[in-house]
Amino acid sequence: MAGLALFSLILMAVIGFLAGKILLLHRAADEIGSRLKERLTVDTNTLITLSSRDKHMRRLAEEMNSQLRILRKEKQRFRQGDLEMKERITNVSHDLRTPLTAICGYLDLLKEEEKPENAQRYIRVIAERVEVLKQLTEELFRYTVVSSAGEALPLEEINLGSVLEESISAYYAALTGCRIIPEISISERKPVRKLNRNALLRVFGNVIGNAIKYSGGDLKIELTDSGEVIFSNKAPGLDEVQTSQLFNRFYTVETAGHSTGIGLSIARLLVEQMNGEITAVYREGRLWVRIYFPK
Amino acid sequence: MEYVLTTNALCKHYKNFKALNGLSMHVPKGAIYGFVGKNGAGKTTLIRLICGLQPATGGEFTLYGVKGTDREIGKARRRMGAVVETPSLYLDMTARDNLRQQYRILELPSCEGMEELLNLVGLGDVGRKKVRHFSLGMRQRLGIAVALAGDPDFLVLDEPVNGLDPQGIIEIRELILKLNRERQITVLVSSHILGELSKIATCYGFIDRGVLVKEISAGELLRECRKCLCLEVSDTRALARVLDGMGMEYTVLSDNRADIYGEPEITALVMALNEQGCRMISAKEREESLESYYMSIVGGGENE
Repeated sequence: MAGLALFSLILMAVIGFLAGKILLLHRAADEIGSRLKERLTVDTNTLITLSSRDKHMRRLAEEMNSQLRILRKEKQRFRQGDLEMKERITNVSHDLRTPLTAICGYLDLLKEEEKPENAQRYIRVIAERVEVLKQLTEELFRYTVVSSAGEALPLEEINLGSVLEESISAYYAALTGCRIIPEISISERKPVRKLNRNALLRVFGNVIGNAIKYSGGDLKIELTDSGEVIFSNKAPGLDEVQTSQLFNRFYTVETAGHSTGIGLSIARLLVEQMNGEITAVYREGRLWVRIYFPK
Repeated sequence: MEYVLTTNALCKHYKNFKALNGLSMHVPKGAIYGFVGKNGAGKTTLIRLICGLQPATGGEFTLYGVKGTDREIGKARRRMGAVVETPSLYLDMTARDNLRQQYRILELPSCEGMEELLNLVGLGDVGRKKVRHFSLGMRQRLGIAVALAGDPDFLVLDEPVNGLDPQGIIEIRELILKLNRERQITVLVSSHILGELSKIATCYGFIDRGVLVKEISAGELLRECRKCLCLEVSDTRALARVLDGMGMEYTVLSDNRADIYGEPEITALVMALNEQGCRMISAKEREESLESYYMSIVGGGENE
């Protein structure tokens, strides 16, 4: 009888011990879980820590840490690489600008000189190409400036409609020069949003400039009551896959054309910096670019 | 801009002495923040408050978006590492044992990464030497290693180059730059060696008598320091007449040299000088050194 009592006492003790152990393990597992979640959601270098001394739990945490270390290393390498690339692009565009300016200066002088007809034609061609080169370096430089801007754009109350009108009139000559008569419909209510005027001008300018280059002969511009700006034009030589890549840096439809493909990605960066969104859709042979600034 | 640390009117009083008197500072993410001030200006006090070694008397600070009085502050502090004053190390242990203790205190599951860390700070080959026999520079570096044991996102270094030899100073500088660039660690360095700080800092905070008198980015500081134009002319009397006419401030250094404060249009200036029969021989931008800038904002208080 006494043996049984002793036995059950030992049994109780063992059960108690095991239950305690399980509780501790649960707690450790929860700890690892919550720490892991934190590490994955917060941008941090720190690793998982564990208050439990349990060997197996510690091994689990260590395994996760080694994966986190790998992840961290990749992330850091990416960031550093991105930074270095931007710096390099800025340097390259500066380096290009110096000789280009000199070339332009001498070209101006050359134009004044007496020269045979052939030479005149050649010089005209050179001047055109140099102009393209200049624009290209300018856009490269803009892109790095826009994408690495550490400081937020100063925003103010701006009438979307009047800025859009201004952009269109600035490009009107260029549009009609390409035989594009834009169809414009701007809402009477002229929505007002918190925006940066210069950035917005640049966004509209880039989108319209893009339409001038690639449109199949028309351009519709619409501003709705809800503050949505929609540009649409016939787009031969474009398809859905290409449309989805339009906002990628350096993507361009005609690789040999006078373009760098940066214009639209600059537009996207600026729109995002003003808390808006810009999307492009290809439907029924037309390209629709939609810019939306929520209230 | 995202800030790692912001303080708002932080105060620390010892009876009648005000070590910090309403200090407000902002450390942006990814910066190397140079914290500049005289001895006793309150640099270390601020760092001690942030680290939780002392309670503040008034005001508040926010670390990674968590208020200093919040219960979660411990978690946010886990993301920072600090070396305050002289590094606290176990003198009778080796460098590795010191680090091992730190890993244990931080509750990290293993000492993985310890060798890498020792190599990073240049202590990979110390072997079994006890910290007691370390030189000052080695202790400083081990202190940084201990601060880095928890892989922090924010590193606070209090006078890290005090008492180091020139080579040690360069090594610490390289280390800080490396940590900032490669690991994207935000660093707060307090120092009064300005020339040294100016080589690494991206932001500055100037503190004087417990108040942050000026907070400025490195770019702005450079512009501030370059406001002086040193002119060499054939006749400073003519120059003075012309400058007075243009309403510019200037000081004449000698018969043919003068400093101008501001940015005049050079062509207009030269034309005006020419009319007076005076030639301009050279024009140089003169850089005001960081030290003289510092004295101009901090040292001014001495005259009160």
